[in-house]
Amino acid sequence: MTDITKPANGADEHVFTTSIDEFLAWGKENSLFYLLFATACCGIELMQTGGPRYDIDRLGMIPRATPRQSDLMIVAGTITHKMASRVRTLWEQMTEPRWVVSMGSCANSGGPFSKWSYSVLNGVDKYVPVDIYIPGCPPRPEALIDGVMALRERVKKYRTLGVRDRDPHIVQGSDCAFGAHPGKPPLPETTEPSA
Amino acid sequence: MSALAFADIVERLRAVFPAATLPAIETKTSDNGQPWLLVPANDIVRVATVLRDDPVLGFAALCDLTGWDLLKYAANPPSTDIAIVYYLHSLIHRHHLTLKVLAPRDTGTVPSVSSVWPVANYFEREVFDLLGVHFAGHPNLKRIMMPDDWIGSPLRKDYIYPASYNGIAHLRDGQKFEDAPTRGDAAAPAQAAKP
Repeated sequence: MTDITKPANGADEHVFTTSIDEFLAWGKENSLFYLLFATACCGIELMQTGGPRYDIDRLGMIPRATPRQSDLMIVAGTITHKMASRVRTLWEQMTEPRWVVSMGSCANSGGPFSKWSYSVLNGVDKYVPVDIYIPGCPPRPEALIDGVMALRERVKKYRTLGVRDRDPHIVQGSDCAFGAHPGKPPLPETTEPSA
Repeated sequence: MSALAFADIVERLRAVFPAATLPAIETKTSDNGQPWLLVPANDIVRVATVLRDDPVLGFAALCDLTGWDLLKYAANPPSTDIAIVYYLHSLIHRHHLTLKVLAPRDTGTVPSVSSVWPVANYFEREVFDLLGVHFAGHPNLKRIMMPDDWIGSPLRKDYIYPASYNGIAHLRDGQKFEDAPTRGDAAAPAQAAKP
C-alpha cells in the first residue's frame, strides 16, 4: 500500500489510496485457494499443513474441491504418464491467474522413480508450468509453507491491468506452455520490462 | 470345521473328483518350503469351482491373483513361461492354498476364474496389462493400470523401455536406461503393439 497525503482535518484516518493493481494483487496474495489434489504421500504432508497444527488457513489458503474455484495447484506426489494428461486438464480448468507449486522430489523430477520406472513422469513441469519447486521426500509442512511464502512474493508482483512481471508462458498464452515440447517452437524471450 | 494341512487339502481335492475326470494336478514345493499346487491351464475353472463349493475345502476368498515371468528366473529346467499364481483362503476353515498355472509366453491364454470369484476380474486385468497373459472368458479384458495406448507388457523380463510417451521424453536430458534396450534404439528388437 502506498502512503497517502493526509489532509489536516483528520477525517480520513481509515482511508488509504493505492493502485487497483496493487489492491488486486494484495487480495490474490491473501486468498490463494488451492486445489484439493494429492497423488501420493506428499498429500499426507499437505493435509497436515492444512490441519490445525500448521494451519495454512491463516494465510488465507482454503482448499477447494474444484479447479474452477482454485488459484493454486499444489502437485503433491508422483505423477505417472497416465495421470499427467489429467493434471494438464485440471490446470486448464483453473481460472487465470493460476499458480502451480511442485511439491516433493517426485513432482520435481520423478524422484526415486526417475531412473528405472517405465510409467512415472520425470517432473510435472513437462506438462504444466511450475512456479515454485519444493524439495523433499516428502517436504515437511514448514518447507511447504516456506514455498508458499515464496509464491506469495510472486503473486504480490502480479499485475492484472498493468505490465505483468510473470513467467512468459503465462503472459503469452498457455499455448507456449510446452516450450520444450517437440514440434513446438522454443519460447521467445520476453521483451516486457518488469513492473 | 477345522483347518486342513496342505496334504489334506490335496487329498480331499483328489477325492472329490471322479477318477475319470481327475485333473492332472501336481504338488510342488517352492524354494522356501511353501507347498503349492500346479494345475493344468484348461482345468483351472473346474478345480476352482470345486475348491470354492466343497464344504470341507470352502475356499470362498481369492486373496490375490498375480503373475510371474519365469524368463530370467533360475528355474530347473529353465522356462520361458509366465506363471499365474492364485492365493486362496478359507474364511470358515482358516486354511489357505496356493495354485499355479503356467501360460506359454507367446500364446499364453488361461481360462478366466472371474466367473468363480468375481474379484478375479480386476486381478486378471492387471496380469493382462503388465504381463500380457490373455484370460479366456473374461468379461472386460482391457488395460487397468497403464494407458490404453501403451505398448508392451512392462513386467515382462524382456520388456523394452519406451523412449517417450505422448511426445514427452521419458528420461531427463542425459539420462539413459542402463542394461535395458530403449524403444527407438537400433538395437532394440521389435515389440508387439498389443500385449
